[in-house]
Amino acid sequence: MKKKDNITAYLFLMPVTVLFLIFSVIPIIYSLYLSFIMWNGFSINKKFVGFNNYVLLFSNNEFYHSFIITIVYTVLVTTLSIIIGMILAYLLNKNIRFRSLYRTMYFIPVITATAAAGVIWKYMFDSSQGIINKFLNFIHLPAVPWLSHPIWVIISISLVGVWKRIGFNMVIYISALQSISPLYYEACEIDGATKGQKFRYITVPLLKPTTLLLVIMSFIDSFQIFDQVYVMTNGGPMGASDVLGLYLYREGFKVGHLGYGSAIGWVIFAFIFAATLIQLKINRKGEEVY
Amino acid sequence: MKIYKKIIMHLILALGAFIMVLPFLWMITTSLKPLKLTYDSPYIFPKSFEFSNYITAWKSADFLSFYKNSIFVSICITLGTVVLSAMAAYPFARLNFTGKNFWFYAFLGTMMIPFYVEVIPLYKIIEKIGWLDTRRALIIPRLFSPFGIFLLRQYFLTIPKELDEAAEIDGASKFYTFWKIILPLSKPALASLTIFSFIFGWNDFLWPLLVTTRPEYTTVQVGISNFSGKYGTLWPYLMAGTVTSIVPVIIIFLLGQKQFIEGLTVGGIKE
Amino acid sequence: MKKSIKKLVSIMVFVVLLGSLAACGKSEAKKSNVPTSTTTETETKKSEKVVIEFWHYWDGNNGKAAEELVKKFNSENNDIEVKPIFIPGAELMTKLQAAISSGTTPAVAAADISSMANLKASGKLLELDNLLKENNVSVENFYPSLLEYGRLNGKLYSLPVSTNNLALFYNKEIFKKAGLDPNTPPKTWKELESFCEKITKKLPGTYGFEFYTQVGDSGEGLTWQLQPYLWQAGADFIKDGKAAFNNPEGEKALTFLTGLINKKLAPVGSWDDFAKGKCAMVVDGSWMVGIWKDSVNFDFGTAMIPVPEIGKNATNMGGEQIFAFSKSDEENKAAVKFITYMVDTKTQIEWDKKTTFMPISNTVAQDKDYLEWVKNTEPRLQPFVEQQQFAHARPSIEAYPAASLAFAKEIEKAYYGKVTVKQALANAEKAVNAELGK
Repeated sequence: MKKKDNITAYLFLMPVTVLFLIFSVIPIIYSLYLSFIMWNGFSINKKFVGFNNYVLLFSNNEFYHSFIITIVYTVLVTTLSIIIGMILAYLLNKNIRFRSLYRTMYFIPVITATAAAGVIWKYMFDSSQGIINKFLNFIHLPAVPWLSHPIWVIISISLVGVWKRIGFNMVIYISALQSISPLYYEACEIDGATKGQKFRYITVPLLKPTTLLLVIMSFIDSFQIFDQVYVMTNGGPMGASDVLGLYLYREGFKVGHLGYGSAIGWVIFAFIFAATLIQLKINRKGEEVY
Repeated sequence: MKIYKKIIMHLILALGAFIMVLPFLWMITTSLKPLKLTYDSPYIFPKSFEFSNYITAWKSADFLSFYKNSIFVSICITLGTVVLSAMAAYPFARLNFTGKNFWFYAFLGTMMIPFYVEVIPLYKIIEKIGWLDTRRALIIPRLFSPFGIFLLRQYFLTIPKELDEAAEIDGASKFYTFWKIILPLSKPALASLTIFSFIFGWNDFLWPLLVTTRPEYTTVQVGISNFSGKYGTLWPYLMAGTVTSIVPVIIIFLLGQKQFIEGLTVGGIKE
Repeated sequence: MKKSIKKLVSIMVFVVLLGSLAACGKSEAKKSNVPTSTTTETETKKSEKVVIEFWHYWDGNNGKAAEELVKKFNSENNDIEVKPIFIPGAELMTKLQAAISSGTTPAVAAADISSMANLKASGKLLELDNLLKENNVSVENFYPSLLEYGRLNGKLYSLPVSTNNLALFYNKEIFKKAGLDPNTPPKTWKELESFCEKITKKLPGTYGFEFYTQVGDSGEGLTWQLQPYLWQAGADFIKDGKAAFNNPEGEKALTFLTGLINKKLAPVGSWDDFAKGKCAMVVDGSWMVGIWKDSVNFDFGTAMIPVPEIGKNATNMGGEQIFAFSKSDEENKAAVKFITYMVDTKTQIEWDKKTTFMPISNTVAQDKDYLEWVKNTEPRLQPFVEQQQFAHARPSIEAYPAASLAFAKEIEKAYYGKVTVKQALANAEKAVNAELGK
């Protein structure tokens, strides 16, 4: 029974392993190496600088700025899209009219490419021609400088992120809801619980594993935002939407600081890694308390 | 009371749904506006139908090439990812071999590493081997999918072992059990990976932006972004271009919606 | 590396689908060599035509005009096919640099004059002197200030293909509504400001004047819009290799602009309000005459940029240069033939009419047909033509793009009111000098 199938196994694994080595392992090692040198990409001058790229990075205000913006975006998108997604899933899990039509409409943004969505939203947010400001104007509210104000711009970009994520979260929640046994609710009904109470004390806790999964997925995804900012604002105004991805793109590909750019990549990795661990840990603690 | 509640719920849901699709509606409306009216006050539902905007947009950018590339690249990424991931998932789920855990965790480990870590060296490698501005550069580095391997392995594990053991007793080879027993039973997971890979391929932006310049090799997403640089202020043309880049995906989605969402939930839950 | 790829491919073959994929990839590779290869044997065998690429960033109306000119060239030359490729302005230099380091440069390209110093320094540009002589191009015809951008160590690497400058645009309808004479645009800074006040008072929600306040990723948009005011007030951007704007004159210029923002006469962080009819005046390039004449639904006029009470006329000279990358003899010849065509007086007149760019040479500027056209068809170009004598050139040095970005980043803070004018100028001086010293 314990017979080994080494040859067969490695034959199956061969193609993926080759790709893995060439397009994953080598770049990762190369990237680590790059982050310790100063190099502009074409000159023969490669200087080993130790941790200097990281030191430069952590003493650069632009980096902190980008970092904070990226976190704000990530937190906003994760929180809002999960709350709205959960509520929608709850409402759309019931047997109501037009259920599948609603689901479709909420889901369409998920399959829309971010770059194309960015182009549309850029026009939606246009300060004087955009439909949003026209509407605000119509109900006698002042126009909002969606993409031209340093604080509003983060909110605007996040709204697009939320818009794109709601449908995904909703669908995952719906399938999680369907796996909740109706017995729980029946038990509750016997105790005379209201609908709100049922949602609060049964649905939400039972969805916890799904929520954790969605939080981690959304966090990892949102932290790497690039497309929509590239298309919508290119980092402006005043660098207010200059997220880390854009910062890396500029340093690594436009200015040609390959070492510095790689260092940004590793910091992004370190942060995502740490954040995921912390989320898992918090979750575990929460479970112990229960 | 109940009806009253129902109406409120429908109102909320409908309003939300309207907001979700408003960008699309407005995109279509704008794309049909005559250029002269660009700066007139906007309206939500189309009033004029300037279909020539679409012709102008298509003529002024090489949309046909963008389309061909996007379709070709997405299909190749999808096929490649599904086939290779299934092949790799099988030994992890069923075979016993030296280094099994090592490779499994090595693959999984790269899932944690964001693309940003690899992107600069990967670009340099592509440049070195002369693949800039080729479709290969868009496809081959994207075929290794730890997520796909993991997803399929998990699914393979749920298939009762008795099935392939019985086949093996009958003298079937490993390859035969993989091909004739495991794969046919894994259709839902394969479908979900297909969908994931296709969306990934179609929506990918940064990588094609970096490795392609010439319109013959660029994808729709980069094409649209370039087009917005080219006709940034001519909104009707830009929106006409954007409509053409989105509509095919929406049609495909509406046609295969059921399988699509089923696949997605399989993917999400199996993790 | 190539070997392992081959191995990979051969392993893949037993998976039928992937096998076909790899084949597709391969045939693709061959095709991709046609436009880019430096070895021309395969190319000439395939067809008699020399296919060369022409990269440019002209968008909208200008892009259309460029493509039309290329089409005409192709129809006139059976042995050459030029493929125009548009690359957004923000990406062009990145893509050119990538092409230079990977050896996949186009044969011909056109880039902003401010990028030329870096392109020349790459050492990959084709030296044009002899080849131009063969094509009977007399270089002396072009304006010397424009030719300067193409020279390095006495050799010529690029030619001007377009030029333009900045002037004032004003919305005649807003002027009327605000009780101003639609035929008297402001002539001085003071007048500009008082006009703005009248307009914003009469028409709430409308701005008086707008200028570019965003850094973007090059900073050049902001810098190039601000420079004319520096020159008008008597300051400079870079002089003798050093920042030359942190002085009372520079302060005067920046105070004027921030003042307009502070009094809410000008918007900050947005752009294009003029075209939307939300702003009465803007300073922009001559090509906008061509773009706006078809896309805005109001009547507008143009005038020279208003000057300070004590000061002089000035505007910023912009434009693109056309150049070739050193490739095979055949491609080089085709490239220079195309360049010759693009800068030829006849082509240029057609180009200027379509794009409303300014003449690059005396022969165009004095051409009867052209002058007649300006006078009768597009009189709104007149102020630009008159202003050309006051146009300043941005320094043609390698550090310029970096200096411009550093400058714009500091000045933007003053526009947003985060720092005072004095602070902004002092910080900008430090940043610019740091870039120049690198």
